[in-house]
Amino acid sequence: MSLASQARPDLVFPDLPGPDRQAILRAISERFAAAGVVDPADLLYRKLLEREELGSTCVLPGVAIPHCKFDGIDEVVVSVGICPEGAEFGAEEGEPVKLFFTVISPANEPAAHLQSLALISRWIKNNNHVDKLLELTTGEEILAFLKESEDERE
Amino acid sequence: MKTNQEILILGLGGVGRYLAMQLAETGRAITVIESNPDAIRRAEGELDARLIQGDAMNNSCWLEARARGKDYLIAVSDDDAVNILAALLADRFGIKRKIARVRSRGLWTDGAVITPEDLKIDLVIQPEELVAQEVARLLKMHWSNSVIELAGGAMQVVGTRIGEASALLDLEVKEIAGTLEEFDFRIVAIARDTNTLLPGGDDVVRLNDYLYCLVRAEDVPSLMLVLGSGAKRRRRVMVIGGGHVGSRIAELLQDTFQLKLLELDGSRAEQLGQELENVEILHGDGSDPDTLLTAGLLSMDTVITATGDNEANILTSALAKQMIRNQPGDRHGSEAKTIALVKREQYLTLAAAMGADIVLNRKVLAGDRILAYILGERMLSAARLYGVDAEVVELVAAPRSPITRSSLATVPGSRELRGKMIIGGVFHDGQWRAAVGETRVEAGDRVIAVCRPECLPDLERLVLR
Repeated sequence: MSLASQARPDLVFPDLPGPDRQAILRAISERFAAAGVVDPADLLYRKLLEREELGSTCVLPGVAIPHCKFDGIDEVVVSVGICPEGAEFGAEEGEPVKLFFTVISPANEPAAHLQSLALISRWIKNNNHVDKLLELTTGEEILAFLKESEDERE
Repeated sequence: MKTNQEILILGLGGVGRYLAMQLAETGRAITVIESNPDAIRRAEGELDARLIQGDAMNNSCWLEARARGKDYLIAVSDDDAVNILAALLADRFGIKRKIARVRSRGLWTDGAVITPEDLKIDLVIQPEELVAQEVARLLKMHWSNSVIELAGGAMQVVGTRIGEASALLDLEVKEIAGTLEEFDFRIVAIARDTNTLLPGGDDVVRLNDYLYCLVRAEDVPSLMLVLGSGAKRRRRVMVIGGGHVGSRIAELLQDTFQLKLLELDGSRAEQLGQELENVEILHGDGSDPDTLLTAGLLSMDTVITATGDNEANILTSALAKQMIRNQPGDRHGSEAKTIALVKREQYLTLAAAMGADIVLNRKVLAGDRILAYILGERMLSAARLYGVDAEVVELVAAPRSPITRSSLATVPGSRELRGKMIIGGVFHDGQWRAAVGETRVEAGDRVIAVCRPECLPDLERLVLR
């Protein structure tokens, strides 16, 4: 299982709009709905926000992993998003968040859900990964870099 | 330190008998002095101990007990003064460590002219203080996350409640371990309803479990991500009764919770108002429904009844619970908890039957505190996990100890200890790792274990001998 194989090309967003948590999650939800992954967008928005309210998913400075389980989808879906100007995302130190990995999983596949979260936590631990990814501006570049960085590791 | 310690226990009440039993099982030699012949007769055949009937204020009794050079005195007779004097006598007899139960609080409050050290007491057991601490512990566990630092901060035990949003929900422990191999953590204890589980690979994480995870400090953010929990709203707690225990509970909780304290006596209420800065002190009768309503009872998450009156505590607790739960159109009430403090053991069952969610037995609390002190002296650190029947301890593996002889899964006796203790982490070659079945511990390695209190002797045997 790799991050690159889970990240969907039509769900790579190099241009997420700030300025805050609500704006980011709203944009992600609408784009998931537009891509036909979830319906309606508002339900996904509320689920993602609910999870953030339990505790920020911002695991490292500048990086967050919004996630939830969602009834009616068939497999784990991962999206990569960048907010170039950074968004206020409830991180403890208050540092703006620029990189967002979003994970949506079927309710009945807890192991796959956990595995995706683990894959991402592991990948972002490498500082070079995050820094390099944030320099990229198109969806193709981002996907290619994910694949390349994971191949290196093997 | 020699392992065949000798222990002198003064007093065969609830605590004395409990400790004599527990400590005899560890292979320590126990001698008991008790003045009541009936208590001695009951203990014969039940305790593996030398029993001496006599008066501890009589020198010959100490000679008969062969007190000289023993390792510990545990003075838990009914009489504070006897316990204190016994510590002084024990010191003259060369007994190394002295533990004394002192119920009265006056001796060491502000402006005290004498200290426990002056009286040669190494550990003072104050049952009321233990009760207050236990209540505080239970509430913090129930309503918030908890963190215990180990190994100088390099490792932590993080405790949190599993909600719908947790990525660990409905997974087997072994599935979790398999998925998360690279960030090192281990589930070391689960509090489920009133039970404590030291989980094996087949156990499943369920909704509302309170999970304790041993984790490297650097991996805490990743762990919190998958645990799916974080800061929660500040909970509201009401303490009814501002006596010593009630006010001490309020003091211990005031930084974590939003606290109200209801006290019947006007001048006491005024005094508490000055002492407890972060507690809202109210003056009124806690057994009166109207007073409770005015005091804001219906929005409370937990109500603790801590007056000096057992029956009043039980009844008020039942009343409060009914009022909170039966309020219309609010789901908050169904989560609310009540705690009734009762002194007499006969009331414990009654309190539970009347609907108190938590009933504490102060004799067992005192006994376990003493047990942990004696067994813990050979361990680097020991801490009780909030509200769970387990201790987390850090120790150094002794040369040729059983734990160093094979991998953890095949250490002699490991099968029998399943569910009773978990070796959670090992410090080897300058690095902490979560321990798994294949892990091998070498002499000199530091080890973090989570263990049921009654199995501390087994842990000692496994790692320190």
